Amino acid sequence: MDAFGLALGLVLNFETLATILLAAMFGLFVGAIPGLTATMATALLVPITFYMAPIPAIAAIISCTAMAITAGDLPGTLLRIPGTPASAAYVEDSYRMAQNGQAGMAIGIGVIGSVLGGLFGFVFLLFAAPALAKAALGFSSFEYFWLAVLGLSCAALISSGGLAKGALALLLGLFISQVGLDPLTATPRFTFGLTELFGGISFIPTMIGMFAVGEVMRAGRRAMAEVPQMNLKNPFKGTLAVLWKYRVNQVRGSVIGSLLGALPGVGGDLAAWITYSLAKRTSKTPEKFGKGHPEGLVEAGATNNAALSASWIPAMVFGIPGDAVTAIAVGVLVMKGLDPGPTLMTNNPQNFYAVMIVFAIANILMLPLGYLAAKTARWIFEVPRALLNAAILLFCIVGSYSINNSMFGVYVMLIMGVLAFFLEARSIAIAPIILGIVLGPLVESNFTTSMIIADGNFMGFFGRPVAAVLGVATLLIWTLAIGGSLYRTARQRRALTP
Amino acid sequence: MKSVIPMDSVLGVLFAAGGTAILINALGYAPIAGMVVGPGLFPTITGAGMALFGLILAVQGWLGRAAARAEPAEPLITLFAVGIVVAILVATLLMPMLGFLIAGTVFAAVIVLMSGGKWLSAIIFSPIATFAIYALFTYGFRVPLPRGLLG
Repeated sequence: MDAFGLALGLVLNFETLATILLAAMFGLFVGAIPGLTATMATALLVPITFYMAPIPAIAAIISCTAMAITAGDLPGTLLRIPGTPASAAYVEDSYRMAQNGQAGMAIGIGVIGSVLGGLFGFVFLLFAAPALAKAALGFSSFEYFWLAVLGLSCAALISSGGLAKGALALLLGLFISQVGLDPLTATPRFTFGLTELFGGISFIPTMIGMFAVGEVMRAGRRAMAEVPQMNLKNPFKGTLAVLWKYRVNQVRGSVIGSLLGALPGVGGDLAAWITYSLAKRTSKTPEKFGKGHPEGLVEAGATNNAALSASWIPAMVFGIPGDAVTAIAVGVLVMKGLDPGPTLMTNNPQNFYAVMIVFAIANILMLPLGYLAAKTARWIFEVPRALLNAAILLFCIVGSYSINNSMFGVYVMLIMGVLAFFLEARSIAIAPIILGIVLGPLVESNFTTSMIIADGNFMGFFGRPVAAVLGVATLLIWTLAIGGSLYRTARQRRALTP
Repeated sequence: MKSVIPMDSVLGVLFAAGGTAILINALGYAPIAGMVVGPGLFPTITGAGMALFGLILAVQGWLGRAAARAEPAEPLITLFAVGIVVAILVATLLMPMLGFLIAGTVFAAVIVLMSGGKWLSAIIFSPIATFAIYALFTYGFRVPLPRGLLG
């Protein structure tokens, strides 16, 4: 309890509170701009944290990330350019809702659902962190491998183009993630002699190209149709009623998000895909998913922020980041001498609790700032499409350049944009590609480690109880999906035969 | 009736060819001596999977060609899409020489005009937007954007 009191003192002072507010507004601004991501906002903030005390520094990262991720739902909802891989899971629904005049409600679900999910994750993990972390520590590469494959499978199988196209999108993402030096032997793979590719294909230019550039190219193809005026006069109107209607999804999304987010190396992206898939499979109206239905949006949105809160636990307790953002945060913790790891909980528990309190404040702050973001986002509609296109593309070029201060990122962005443009035109979803790129290294490293442990015997992947359950579940999902696809093809052939 | 190869089949064949190329390339990576794994193991699985699903897509496209022919065809490559790609490419090539402010202004003006905007909008908006982004990244985020001729 003493530690908690000390933690309150560390957070409830002018410097930390002002930092939280300013960083949240910065996150809101960057997150709401199409083509700029929460990861980029966090990375750009790191040099500024050099000049701060440890707790305000980490508070800046936390509040900026939480707000940027929530604000990232705005371009997703309004322009179909998701701010994060997690929001890509439900971008089709939120965008269609906006097209149907429910933009305010879609944003409201994202913001309020995220706040509730984030607070759930905070409360749950504040008390359950030690036990959950202990359980996650017991996981080996086998469990991580199956968990990641299960998530990737869900992403591929729920994509709109069908089984083969979903699988191809996923495999393309996995292939892109393999470009660069092999993590085991440092052998250059698929680099074609280009030294710029030795470090791999940067995720941010890829994401900007696939979602932003491809979208601008497509928008032009639709004869620059006017974006309909969305109902954003009263953001959040009717949101509570929808959240209450889908309260089971809200709670389930929060619980699963908290549990999956707490696993080192998993993070929120995978969790949102899993719960979106789960919501679709358990829904009474699965045919409405992807067409502007709020059910998946509620569940995956809650998961997103619950997992975001939870993903900081392994980063803090074990020093193992769950995603790019927490990886940056771990760097800041080390830089500030906080040394993330088990000793943080035993030697300096006030720092751990301070981070938890910052999380609670950042989540609560999302309500007023989310409302403000929704209101100010209207300019996106009111700016003529011609000006919007120019601004988006300029931001894309600068954003891709700023990752390594090199034009190579811009070339990557352009190639990926063209690729996405052609693939989407043939109903191949982009989101599984992005997820494949993000989780590819995790899948490969755990697969390689497991193969070494099992001495090449694939049955070894089922040798541990949890791994066996996850492995069988993954294989079962693929079997059912392939069986269903064959059945549908046979039925269509019969229907077409005179 | 003219015979048309379904686009899904073409795409499937392209993926199958790409997967095969990945597979062949991956098999060329030397495994670690005395171990079951190596740098080529995961790419081998990826390439094989891509080749397999590419073939499945090609067959599916062929079987469903009757339904595909009934769908209204939308032109895939438009002048606008090609223009965007060319504009980004030219801007990227010229930016190190001309600098972000000059190349960005011209690029933004071209995009505004290509997107159906008016000359006046392009002339007013492009320098303002370019300078605002330049100031934000250079002074706000400390990103050293190319200065080129203005350097």
